[in-house]
Amino acid sequence: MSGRTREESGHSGPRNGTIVAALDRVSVLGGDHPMLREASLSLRAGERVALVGPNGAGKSTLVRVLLGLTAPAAGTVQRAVGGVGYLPQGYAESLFPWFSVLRNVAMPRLVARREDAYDAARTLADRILPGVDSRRRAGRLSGGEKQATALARALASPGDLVIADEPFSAIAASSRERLRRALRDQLGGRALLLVTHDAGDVTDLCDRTVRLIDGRTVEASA
Amino acid sequence: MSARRPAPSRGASLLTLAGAIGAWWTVAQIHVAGRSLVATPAATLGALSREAPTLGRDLAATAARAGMGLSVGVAAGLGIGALAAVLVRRAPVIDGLLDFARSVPPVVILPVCLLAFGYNELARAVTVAFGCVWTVSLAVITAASSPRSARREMLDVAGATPLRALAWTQPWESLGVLVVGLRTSASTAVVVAVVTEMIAGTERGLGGRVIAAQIAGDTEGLTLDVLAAGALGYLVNLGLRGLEQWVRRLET
Repeated sequence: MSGRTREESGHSGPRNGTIVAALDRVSVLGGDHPMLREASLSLRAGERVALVGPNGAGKSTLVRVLLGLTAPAAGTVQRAVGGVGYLPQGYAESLFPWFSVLRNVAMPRLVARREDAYDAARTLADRILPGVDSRRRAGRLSGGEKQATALARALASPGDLVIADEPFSAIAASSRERLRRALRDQLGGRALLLVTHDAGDVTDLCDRTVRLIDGRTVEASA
Repeated sequence: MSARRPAPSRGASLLTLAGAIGAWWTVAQIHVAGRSLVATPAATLGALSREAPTLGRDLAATAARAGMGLSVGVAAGLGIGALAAVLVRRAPVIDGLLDFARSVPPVVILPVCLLAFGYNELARAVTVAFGCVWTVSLAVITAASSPRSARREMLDVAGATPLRALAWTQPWESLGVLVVGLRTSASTAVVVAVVTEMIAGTERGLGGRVIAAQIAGDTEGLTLDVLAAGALGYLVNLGLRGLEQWVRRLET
């Protein structure tokens, strides 16, 4: 776990232990086939949780329910308040190709009407995208640079929760460790839900693992 | 493995151009009822040197008419399209009605406009606008009904108000569809502008020149006017294709 304090990362949210988002016995139907079956998950402030499972197990669906993008057929959802830093699996399509890297990274804070939007974005871009001109149009970036931009944007969010869906899938192995460190340091007191297939991400970044098997959540380790 | 496109060769382009001029010359040798239907390239060039000043004036008049009608059509199309995009979810029949309106050939509206406004520029401009408005409206509906983008979802998740999320995504994401609609409308505008000049007559304009040349049996002038109309449409298309490519580059 990171030694950085909440104040250092510029984030002050709820105290550790407070639930920031949760699902309780949530089911989602995809046609006649259930995508989630009574899945439950709670994320507490400062907690870093890995969500793992085979392809098609329902990981991305669970994330979408947690974000309020997919409505569940049954169960209850407690959504995070104040916005969520979100890095989707389709990171490239989530960027604004016509805006600069800096504006993309600043977006969550611009949405929250924070005066420090560009300063915070500049700090994050320097850390996560060294060597990339932040005035460059995001559409002109390489795949790895786009994913790093989306990661910086998720971390720029002033909310209490960051959700990253396979955040390093397009990142070169040589840069992965540096970005993991950046993610760890910049999280501060926020909760993290990390969807991953990489055991290295789980051991380096998370305190707890939740496995999703055939739409059901199984607590794997504490 | 994908085959590489061969590099463009200037020689091949020049050869193709020479072939096209040769084909034009050959067609010009065909006589029907004792006269050629198309002037030779050399005779057309001669006509151009003689008629350049008046041709320029007529070309400008047609371009202005097409431009005016296109502007009115696009402005109206954006408004109608935006309204229809809001209403189409409640009444899907709107989509069909707009498609029906687009299928009405714009020139058949000219007599209606002449009756309504008289033989003047307004009647022509409204006819051209009629040819553009529906294409633009349908493009707006298509843009507005596109599935919720990942960018929009990101903004929703970040806590943006629906209006703000819409303002930050919709105009940009709609650009591609709107530019294609604009390009189609611009081509229509040139065609309709020339045809209205031919049907209703005009003091200045390519359509008027074409009819005058046909009545006078001026094959050289007629060939020149046909080529000038083609050049006008081609230039408009070229400019808007550049705009479309710029928008595509912006999206990636």
